[in-house]
Amino acid sequence: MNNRLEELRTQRGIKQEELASLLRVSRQTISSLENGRYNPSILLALKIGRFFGCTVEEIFILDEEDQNHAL
Amino acid sequence: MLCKLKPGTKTWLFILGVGVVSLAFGVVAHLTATPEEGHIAMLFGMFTGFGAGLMAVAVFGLIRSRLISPRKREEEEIAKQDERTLAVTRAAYSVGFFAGAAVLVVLIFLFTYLDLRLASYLCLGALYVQMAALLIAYRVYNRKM
Repeated sequence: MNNRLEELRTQRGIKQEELASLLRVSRQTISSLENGRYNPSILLALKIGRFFGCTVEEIFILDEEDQNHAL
Repeated sequence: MLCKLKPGTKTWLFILGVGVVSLAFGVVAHLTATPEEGHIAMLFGMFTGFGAGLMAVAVFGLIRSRLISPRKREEEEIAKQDERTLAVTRAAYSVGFFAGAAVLVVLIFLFTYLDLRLASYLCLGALYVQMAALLIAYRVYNRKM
């Protein structure tokens, strides 16, 4: 799964620490999400979506491999 | 009165209490043990050491909880509930569980080879308890989720 978290965060000029604090997660979680090493829970994905004013699908994108697994 | 304490203080006080009881029991029992009961005296010594260790950890925790800044405390609270931290901890527990089971299996064979049957049976019992706990936990969580 790919995501646009880093792009959206830098667009708004927010540091990882600040975003982590606002979402009440650790900075490592934000870093892992941005690097694609960790996939968020639905709850966290929704919180991130609400924070950036986007839908979850606009931030987190299923790649081809994930879609093949899902079907 | 306990409700006004800082977060985590109750837990540290409980650990301190267990440590004091264990230490006191160990010291008193060690003093009353007869010299022929060497292994029993050693057991009481272990209670003493265990109690002293718990007390040291609890005192350190209590001092730290008083000195820590509110910002750091908030960060620690977030880190404790952080979903990635929980996922990492669960993965580590899984590895720890299988490592523990593997060690028990090795010990069962080793103790049998050394003709230490009681130790071998104890390890076998511990392995059964571990497997039963896994099965029960699986069933409980399977029903919950």
